[in-house]
Amino acid sequence: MSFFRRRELYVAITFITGLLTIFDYFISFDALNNTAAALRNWVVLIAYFAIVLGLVNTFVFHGRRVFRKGQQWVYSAWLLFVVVSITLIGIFSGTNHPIYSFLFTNVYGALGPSGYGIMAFFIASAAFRALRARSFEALILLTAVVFTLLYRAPVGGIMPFIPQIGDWIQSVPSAGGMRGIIIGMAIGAIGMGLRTLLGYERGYLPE
Amino acid sequence: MADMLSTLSPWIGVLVTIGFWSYLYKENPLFRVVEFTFIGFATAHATVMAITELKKNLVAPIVNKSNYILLVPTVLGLLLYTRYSKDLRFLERFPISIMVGIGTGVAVRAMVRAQLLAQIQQTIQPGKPIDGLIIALLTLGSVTYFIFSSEEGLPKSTIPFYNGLRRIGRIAIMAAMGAAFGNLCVTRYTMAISRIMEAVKLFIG
Amino acid sequence: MVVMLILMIIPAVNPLGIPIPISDYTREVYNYIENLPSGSIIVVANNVDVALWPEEETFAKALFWHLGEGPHKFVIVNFGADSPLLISGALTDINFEISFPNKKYGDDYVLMGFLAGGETAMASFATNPQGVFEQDFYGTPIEQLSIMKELKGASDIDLIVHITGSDADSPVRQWVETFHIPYAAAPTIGWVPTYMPYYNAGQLVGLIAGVQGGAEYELLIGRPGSGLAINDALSLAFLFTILLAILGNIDHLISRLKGG
Repeated sequence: MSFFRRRELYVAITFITGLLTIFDYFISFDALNNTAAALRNWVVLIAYFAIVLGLVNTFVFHGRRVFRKGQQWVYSAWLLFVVVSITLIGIFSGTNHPIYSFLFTNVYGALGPSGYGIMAFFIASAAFRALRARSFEALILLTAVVFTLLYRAPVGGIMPFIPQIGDWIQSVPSAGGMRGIIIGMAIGAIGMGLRTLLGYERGYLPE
Repeated sequence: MADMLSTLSPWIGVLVTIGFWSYLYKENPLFRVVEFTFIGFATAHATVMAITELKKNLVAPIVNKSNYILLVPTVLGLLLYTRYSKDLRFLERFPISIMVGIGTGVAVRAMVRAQLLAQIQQTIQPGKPIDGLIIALLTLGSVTYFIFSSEEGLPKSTIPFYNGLRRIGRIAIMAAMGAAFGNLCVTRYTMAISRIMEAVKLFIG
Repeated sequence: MVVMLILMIIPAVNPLGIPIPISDYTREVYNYIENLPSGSIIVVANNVDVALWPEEETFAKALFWHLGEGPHKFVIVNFGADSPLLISGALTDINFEISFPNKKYGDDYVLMGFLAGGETAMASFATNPQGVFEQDFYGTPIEQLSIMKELKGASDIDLIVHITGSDADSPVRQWVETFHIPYAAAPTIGWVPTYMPYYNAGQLVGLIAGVQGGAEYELLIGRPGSGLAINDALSLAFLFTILLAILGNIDHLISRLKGG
């Protein structure tokens, strides 16, 4: 049993599965390709279990709070009630049931955009307080923001030169900067990926 | 029942939005209730979808088609839950190491072509010469800014050129971030406007 | 904040009717679909969540109108937990079954379930679209769906239209570079800057920029709708934000001149 506790075993599993997946891309060999495809399908299935693990974690965290009457335990109790009721309705009635559809569309469908939409008011506040040209780079940032907003606003389409300037900003300086970010991130990600596969990075393994 | 639900539905949406946006005035119990409802619903819905898909794609093939090889991912998935046992929690490493190995392999194998070669090729072979030259300079500058953090080891004569390139990189990144912020505003405003339109439809028609 | 609220309410009550220009990258998606041979299979991939749905809803409905009127078949695949119900709702909102009686579910279009696993799921689907699903979203066994019998591998997919609220890296790596599937992206506008380098490099056949792109697509298919109304309100909100930024900078300049 102590063999299965050794971290080296799991680093080896990561290495072998990673190598299999990479070779699958370069080599056309039925046994290899079929095994890699099957493993990928298994990862999809394991991911469903991982999602349900989120529910279990929620129960553990908020359940502890309710049990110990910790901070904001009343809200945690409400959350657990919502989780249990929605889960039971969904599993036993199905997601196509009128009640589940109603709750999804009118409650959840309103909650999400409301949460994101509240940021609109904070952005307006930030525009006044934070978008100040204190340096040349900040001026570039401000210019890009202003022209992007004008470009994205339909009213900008009827102003002279705004569509052309906005298009140019999206396609040239913004794309140039983003491309540099993409290349930099790719180099970093490849390095990190290789370190993970070779066992130098083991942070993903739980204690 | 259906009539009652259809009458109720816009009111629920508006009340939920008012609850969330009451935070703009100050934090209050209504906001907290709405916030926790959101978290609870999101968790529950994801779980419902995952269990539904497991029933269709895992349980049904095992039971109806005797596809017993699928017992392997079933066991691996269940091993994720050993984290709650002090003695068995090391078994959680099995599924995690497989997921990390395959996920890393899948990402890394295509990254060189998709994100390096294709992007570098477009930078050195652009369609429009002048814009292409500007993009090439900005790309080189932002890569320099990201990757090279110090002047150590560089020949002294190249340091002004290197610093100039880093400055260009900072400008390019500022332009990209400004455009990104501008675009982000659109998303946020769209969400707010969609909720306001629901309220307007309800009160004004 | 009150001013912002009022500015958003005005166009909702009284639409301004500001015309929107149609961008080249939106037109390229439309033209690509129009030029596909009859009977082509288009995969509509979704991983947008409920919070971002108002921005993508406009394009999703316009796309389904376009596909309903056209000679193509389409398979809807979901990579987000919220997506299946959102897409099912969009099809119901436009009364797809009634509006397009010539499109038969199972033969001409199908709604598949939710594939978890992110990039790995994308790779799995492209490798073997039939193998990754046992049933569709409604529980119909895949053997009873004739459209899925035609979809044996990546080469059978004529176009992927990806309605998404996340970055470009994963789909470009998997669908474009690994499996060489023509790919059109419909991200929320916040993610558009990350897609532009891939679009410029020719890795995308076109790009639909959030609600703005959705409104443009509505115009292209000749069915102006909610996208235009939202764009009116956006115009006012953006002008106000720019005004605030200008006022903030004037305030900053005055402070600097006073304080030194």
